[in-house]
Amino acid sequence: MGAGFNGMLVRGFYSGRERSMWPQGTTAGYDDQRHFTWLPGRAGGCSPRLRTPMSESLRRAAWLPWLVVMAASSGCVTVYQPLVALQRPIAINPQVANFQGLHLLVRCVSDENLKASQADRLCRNVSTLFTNQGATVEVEVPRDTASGVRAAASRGTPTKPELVMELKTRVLHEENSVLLWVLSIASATLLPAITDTSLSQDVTIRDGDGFLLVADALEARFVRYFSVAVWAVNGVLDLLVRSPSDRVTGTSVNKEVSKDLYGQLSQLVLHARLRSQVLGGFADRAPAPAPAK
Amino acid sequence: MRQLLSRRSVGWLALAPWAAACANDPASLWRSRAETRGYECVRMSRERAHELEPGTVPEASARGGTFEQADALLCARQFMLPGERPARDEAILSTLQDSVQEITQAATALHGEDVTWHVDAFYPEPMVAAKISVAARTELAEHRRRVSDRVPVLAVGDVAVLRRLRPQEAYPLACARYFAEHVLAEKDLFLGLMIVDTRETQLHAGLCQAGVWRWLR
Repeated sequence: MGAGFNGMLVRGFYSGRERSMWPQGTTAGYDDQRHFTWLPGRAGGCSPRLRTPMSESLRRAAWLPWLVVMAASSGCVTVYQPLVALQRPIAINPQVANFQGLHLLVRCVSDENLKASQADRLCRNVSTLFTNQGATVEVEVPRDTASGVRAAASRGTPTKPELVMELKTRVLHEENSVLLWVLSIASATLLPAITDTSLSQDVTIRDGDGFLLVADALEARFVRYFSVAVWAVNGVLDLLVRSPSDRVTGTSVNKEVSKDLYGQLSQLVLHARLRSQVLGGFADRAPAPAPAK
Repeated sequence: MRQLLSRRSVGWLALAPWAAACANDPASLWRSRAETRGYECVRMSRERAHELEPGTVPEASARGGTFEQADALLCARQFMLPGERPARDEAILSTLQDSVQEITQAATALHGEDVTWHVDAFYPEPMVAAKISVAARTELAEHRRRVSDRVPVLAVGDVAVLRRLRPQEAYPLACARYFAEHVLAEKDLFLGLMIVDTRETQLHAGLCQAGVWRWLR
């Protein structure tokens, strides 16, 4: 029962080998279907608290099987809202080789909002994004060691990069009403329990000498509804009424976040590279494209 | 029975603030994806939100209620809906004020007030180029700079040559030609705003004085 319940909750964001891992913080990465996931883990509607083993007295309760059936068939519906910058239009196509000859170092900072393993996964995914666009990418995940000395787990050739991208995740806001959870559970999840989390992915890009080229904060909000009623109604609406681009169940949220974040990261790296070239007087760089006018 | 009803009422009443908030929420389940994306939202403290929108966000009570929200999400509908303008034009124009402020600030810091400013924008879409030029001229004028409406023009032969060059060669050469052909004099400054790559959504800028081109950004 528990595995099925958890599996259903997790399915929206994870699949395959990552299904067993429950996010404790906030992370970003691809799932096995190569969709980006950005997880408001701590305040998620599918809260880890739901996985706490039930007491023996509760297990004996007569209404429990009914609740289990309801819960097992319920799920989370997540609404993603880009707050700042993520919905900004992009002119770059991240699916073509935009960064031939670029040597990029991606550094993912792990802290209380992003575990080292999640930062590592984020870095791997961003590395894949830019490698696919023709760049040579190194990744680095600074870690706090027991002695307090920062060590780096890095991959790739240790040469001076042309650009250094640093990614840091911040939780801007978390809202998780206990009252709604109580009402939701009391109503066998017919009433939704809602969690609201706002996150920021802070991006800074510097040149190899440390000169700041681009700094931006990509902010997003995730509202999760945990309710059998909400899930069922929206499942039916997705199936019968909503266009594919408006669907809220399944992996559509993952795809949308993926598209937004990777598009913006690609655009920012292009801007940083061009700014570096312009400020350096276009000296010793790869041939620039023809003028726009 | 009465007790049961009252308990139920309390339960539903507890949902009332949530239901009211959901009606205005851009991330509501009943809004389309395009509608949700059509807002720019900033999260801020309730006090700040009350200062900005006193009619919408009530003042926090001095004692702080149990169910009172500590912060607010302030949203503004974007002027143009997604897809109404080409992506690059939209990105450039939606950040035009900030870009132009940065550029003119850097440019005016380098030169005194005794020069005449000429401005032109190099952008594939003439309508957008015109908006960029006007924005830069307005910004300079607001900083009490002498701004000319005249756009320096080169001979047809010069333009034909410049069109074949890359940006790093074209703009310095154009600057030299402006001065050589006396289109610009000693006391004239030319501020050019442009994109150097068709895939970018940021503006670059350069200054031309006495035949010497200098990249600003």
